[in-house]
Amino acid sequence: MTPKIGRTTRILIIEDEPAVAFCLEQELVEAGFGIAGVAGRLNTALAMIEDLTFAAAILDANLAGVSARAAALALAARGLPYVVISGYSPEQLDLAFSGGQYLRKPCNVDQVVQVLNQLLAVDLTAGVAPTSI
Amino acid sequence: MQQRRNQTEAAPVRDSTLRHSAAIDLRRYKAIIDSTDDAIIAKTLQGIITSWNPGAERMFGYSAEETIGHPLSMLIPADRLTEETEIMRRVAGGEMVNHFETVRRCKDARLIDVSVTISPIHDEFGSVVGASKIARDITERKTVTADLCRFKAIIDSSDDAIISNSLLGVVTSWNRGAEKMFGYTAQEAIGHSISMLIPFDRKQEEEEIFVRIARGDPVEHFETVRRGKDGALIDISATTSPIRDGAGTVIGASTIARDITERQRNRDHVQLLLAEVNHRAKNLLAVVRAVVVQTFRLGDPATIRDRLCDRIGGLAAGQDLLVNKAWQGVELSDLILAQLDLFKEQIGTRVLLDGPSAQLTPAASQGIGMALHELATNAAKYGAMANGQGRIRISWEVSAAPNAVFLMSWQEEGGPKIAASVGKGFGQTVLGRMVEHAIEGTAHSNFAEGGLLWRLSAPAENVLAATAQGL
Repeated sequence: MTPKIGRTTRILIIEDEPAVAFCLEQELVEAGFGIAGVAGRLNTALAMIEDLTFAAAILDANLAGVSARAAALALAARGLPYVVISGYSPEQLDLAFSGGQYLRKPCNVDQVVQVLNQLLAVDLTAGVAPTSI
Repeated sequence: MQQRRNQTEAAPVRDSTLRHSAAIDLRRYKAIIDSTDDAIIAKTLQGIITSWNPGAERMFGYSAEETIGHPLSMLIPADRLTEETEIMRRVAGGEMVNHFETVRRCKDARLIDVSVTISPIHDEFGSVVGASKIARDITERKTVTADLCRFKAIIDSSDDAIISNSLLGVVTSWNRGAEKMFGYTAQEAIGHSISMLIPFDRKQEEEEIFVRIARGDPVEHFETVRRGKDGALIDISATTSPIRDGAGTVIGASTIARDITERQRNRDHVQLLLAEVNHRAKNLLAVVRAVVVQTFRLGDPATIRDRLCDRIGGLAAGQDLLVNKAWQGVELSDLILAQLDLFKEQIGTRVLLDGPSAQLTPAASQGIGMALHELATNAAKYGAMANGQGRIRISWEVSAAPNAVFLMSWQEEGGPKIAASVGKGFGQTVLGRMVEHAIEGTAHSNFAEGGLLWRLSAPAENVLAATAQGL
């Protein structure tokens, strides 16, 4: 569960469901990550993507009934890797999310940590933004 | 006639020639009269039948013997007798009645539709002495006409577009359904090429249909797209069949097309709903998972089991409210009643609700609902509802626009003294950070002397469903 990148690696959590966001935050902290911020609405998410410093994001595809498409595009524009965690199947998701790694909701923190580590390892060693599989 | 007779007397030499020629004429006329399918009948002005040809025998079923010397009224249905009187009055006046359509009765009592032409018969002095009638059976023509009218009415009243075209693709008929569906009037469409309906990328498909039709094969329930007069694309299901002439040669095609735009839209809508169900079900499972993970931090298995069941029950109650309101929003008082099911008997006495009607967004109702659930559970175990006399007042208000603020409070009083450990752990997170996250607001818990005071405030737009914001 220990992240390979180090304790200071900061993650932005974009998730509208308070219980899920809170739990994810706690579990990621326990797994050794830092939390850059938690956003539950699209506007907040876009502001945080713009203003905060973080290594990767966890993105819920639907924020309080609104597609998080714009957040996916903003992350891609900044070249930041992200994990899409969604109840939608990959086929039901907007193409804008194809830049992220997909995880089906609900998922275990081990899966999240594993995908984050993969994304960050690729990002740091190759120096390029990861692409979807 | 009179003149000829005089001539005959004056020129006896030619007499036999004339008589001979008249006899030939007579035979010729008789041959014609005997061989026609029309009924040819002569009668006196009094209506007595004087001649009856084989056509009349075939049409009415009576032989010449049965009719000659009898009144013609035997052929006329009772309700038509006055009509015959009127005709005879006109014929007696020397008038000819042309193509008069009426009904006659046959020997077997069958009624037939006939078209009758009646001419006066003059004697050698020019007086009208009788009438000749030529009757044609038009029953079949009438039936065909009636059938045609019926088919035309069906075609005209159909909402489906019913179109025919020649093998060259020229539109030959165009019903009202087609006018409505494609926007072209019959006048605009007939005589023009059917290709005006076909989007550019469907030309190939149309050629394939044409080949099958030319071969004599129908193309059934074919789903495709056509372009209307206004350029809009219409989803249709079409059945195209060959039209054949009397000899069986394919001479064109008829197409019945149904607008399935609505059906297509419904299909898309079902897909959308399925995606929503998928999203929402998994979201809820994610919440359940988070609740499980958090509740397990309590450590004691018996407590874990009880709180877990409680919290999952609370989520289920909130879910019911959302589904009942088609996921549009939840009335706050309904949400409170659902989450305070534990002491519904005390509502109105020890538990007081005070606030205006407020429709919460699904996200707000989930966050506030979980908070209410924690508050109720805590009140029952350690707070105002843990003894016999404590009270809870739940009040909420929305300040005036602009920048409307939603305020809510949960005030307990008269409960037992609260132990220091109460309000720690996940429950406190639900009452604090989680509900704050749900509505981007602020929440405060204050364990005062008389009991818990919990306050929540947030921009009204984050809490209230769009339809209710104008209130």
